Amino acid sequence: MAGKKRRKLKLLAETETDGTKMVTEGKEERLELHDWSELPAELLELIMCHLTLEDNVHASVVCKKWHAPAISVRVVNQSPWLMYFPKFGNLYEFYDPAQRKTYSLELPELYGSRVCYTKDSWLLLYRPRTHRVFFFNPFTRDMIKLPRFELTYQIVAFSCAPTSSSCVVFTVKHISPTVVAISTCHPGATEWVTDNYQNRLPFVSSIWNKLVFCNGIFYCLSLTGWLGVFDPVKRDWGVLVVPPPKCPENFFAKNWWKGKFMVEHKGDILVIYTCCSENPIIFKLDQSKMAWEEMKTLDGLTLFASFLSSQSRADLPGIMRNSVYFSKVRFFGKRCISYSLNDSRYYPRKQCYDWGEQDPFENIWIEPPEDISAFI
Amino acid sequence: NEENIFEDGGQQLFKVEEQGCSRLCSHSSTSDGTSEDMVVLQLPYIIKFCKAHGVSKENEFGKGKSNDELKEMLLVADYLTIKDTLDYLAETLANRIKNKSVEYIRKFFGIENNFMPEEKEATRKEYELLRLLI
Repeated sequence: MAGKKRRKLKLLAETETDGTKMVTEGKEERLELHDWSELPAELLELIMCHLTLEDNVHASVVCKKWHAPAISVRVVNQSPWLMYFPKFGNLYEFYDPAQRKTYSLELPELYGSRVCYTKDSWLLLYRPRTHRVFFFNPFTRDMIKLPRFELTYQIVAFSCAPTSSSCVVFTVKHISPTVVAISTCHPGATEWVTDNYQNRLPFVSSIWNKLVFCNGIFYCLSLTGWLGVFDPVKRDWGVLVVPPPKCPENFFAKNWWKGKFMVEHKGDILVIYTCCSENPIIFKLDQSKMAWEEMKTLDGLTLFASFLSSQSRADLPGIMRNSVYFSKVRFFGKRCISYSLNDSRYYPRKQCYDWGEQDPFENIWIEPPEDISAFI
Repeated sequence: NEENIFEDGGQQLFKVEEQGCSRLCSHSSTSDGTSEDMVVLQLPYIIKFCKAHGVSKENEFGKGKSNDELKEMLLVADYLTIKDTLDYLAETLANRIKNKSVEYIRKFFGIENNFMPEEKEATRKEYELLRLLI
């Protein structure tokens, strides 16, 4: 137990310069024996910066003097960045919606390629001219090549970072309404494995389908809202007997089916339906009921929607919670277009985005590196 | 800030910034070898740590030390501006707080809950709200 006595060690730091004696006796020069409750704020901060959010909250209510240091070092989760692919040149821009800042990197390694998917800071890219498929981490500049494959009109996804031994790459091609060709690959493989599969319910695969990997399964959402599922271990494919989400009548405008985004969060599949200036509708797949359930709230979650892949985050700064961030930044004011479920409105208002008219390869939400000091 | 490197028997021990250097030089033990000076008391441990630093012994070092001993070392390391030791001590102390309840932390460090009644209520509410958000 800390004693109450304090020993003040006054220190006279004498510096002889030009014969003058300088005696410094400020607060900094005294080494006091402190109680735990009165340790200097900077030292408390140094200790607390090692704590998780939950432990930080505990520390902040221990006593008065511990409150401010805990708050000052409290870190909430990092938001994804929106990565832009330039039409010309090698300068790639990254937009951080939390800080409203843009960073840039020169990435000549990506010349002639287009992005396909992203996960855990890794990109999957395709070079149409050479049919080269490769992984690339823009922050570490690591590159992992895969065997060549013609992917021109197919969507493709992968399960986790290619540095993991369980990484699987998946792509599905339409053969007929009841037959698909599924091809898989993994880092280190010499070729892609392709098989045809049948589905009893009609299913159309196209470049407009959305892919998500969740609980070991690849989920594929078709244009009309049916879910195809592929188990890469068992190698079986089927279409779930889950009727597509129900949308109101006014949702069926031009290109409405193209304004869909699919994302997973802790084992749940979420789908965002957008239509012109209507408020987006979010559905969650209830696997036990085999039905889509409309979500009026995301319970503090933030979704980041982009054409090829979308992300979810919990514990973001309060103002970002319970919202959907879209892959469009209004450079006046540097705000990302977002929809707030709390306020039931877009920010900024009067949005009428036809996601069917956007360039799918223009940008993508990517997980930033843990240490961003190199980019600031 | 100029960096001064302290050595012992040819082995580099720690770097100290200029401010820490002048402080270090001004502390000394009395003629009979005893001292009430916190810096002098803690310095041998800091030297020991620095000698073992870089080997896996690093994690063992804080084990046998009481909270108060670690606290004194922390203060001395900060006072003498020895960054590596300071970082290590801060992390060791953080590990002692991890996954513990608020009551446990108070008891463990001998801290009184000195929030005023209204403040206690306000902090309790903030705490509960944050717990829901986590």
